[in-house]
Amino acid sequence: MEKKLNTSQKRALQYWFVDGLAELTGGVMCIILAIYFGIISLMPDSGWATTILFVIVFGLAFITRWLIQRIRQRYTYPRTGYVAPKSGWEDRRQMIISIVFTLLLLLAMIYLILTRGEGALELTPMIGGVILAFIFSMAGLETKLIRFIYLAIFCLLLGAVLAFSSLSNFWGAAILSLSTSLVLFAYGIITRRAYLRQMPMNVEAPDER
Amino acid sequence: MSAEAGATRSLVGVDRLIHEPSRSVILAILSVVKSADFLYLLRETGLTKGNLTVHLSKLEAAGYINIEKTYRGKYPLTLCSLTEEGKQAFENYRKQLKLFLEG
Repeated sequence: MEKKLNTSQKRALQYWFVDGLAELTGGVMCIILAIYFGIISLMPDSGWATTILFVIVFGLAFITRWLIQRIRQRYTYPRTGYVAPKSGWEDRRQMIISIVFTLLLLLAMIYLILTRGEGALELTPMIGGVILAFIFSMAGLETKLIRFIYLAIFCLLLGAVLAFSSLSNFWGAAILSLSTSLVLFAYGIITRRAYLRQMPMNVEAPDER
Repeated sequence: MSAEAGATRSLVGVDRLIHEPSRSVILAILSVVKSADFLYLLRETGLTKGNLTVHLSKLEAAGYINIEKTYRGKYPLTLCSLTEEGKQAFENYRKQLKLFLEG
């Protein structure tokens, strides 16, 4: 009985990752980030262009999110039903961990800037890797999906390797984002194919109450 | 009182409304999410629509869940969420069940 309850809870927590769309969204976001970092590397001194680019990147991310939501409404909800997750603020433990992580990261960045000056910028890919690793490990621990833990380890290692490579900081961040997006796309496509195969469309009206 | 007697007493005192397997699964799901719709609960519990409706009505009558009826496009959508009372009742139930299994 206890096991059955735990399984039901685990499946409910995994709901948002059941159709692979979350990974595909993440993949698109990372590719947009990679393009952003790539363009900044090519024109480092054009402040206004960077600002415009930043707005475009955010706009694209917003459109992607909207589009994925529409796809989900059309294909996922009629198959699996709908579950609204608890927001981060409702989950006290998750909120505390996130605040502690942000504070530690800020302290580490201040320490690096004070001790290394501009040299601290070289560590941008490593900091990016740590942030991505944190996001994915939180998702993995919350949903008990081991693929996110593997992804967190991948980001952490790649960020460290890129930080100590001869690449510039923004090129390193671009490669980190691009690699992460490729892994996310692979996860997303595999999960989506399995989902569409296993979950037939519900042909009846979804609700009779 | 021995540990065994305590464990037995904890089982005797469980909330019968929640102890029914389908209803405990419904509450277990709702305890980890903000809300879930009728179709999701139908798929997860494996119940028929009629049976699920009856179980949801009983939980709603006990004040353990809220049922909100709305529309998504032209389809009716029934969203269920746990009330504070339901949350407390389910936590107590899990504690009692754990006590019994450990005792």
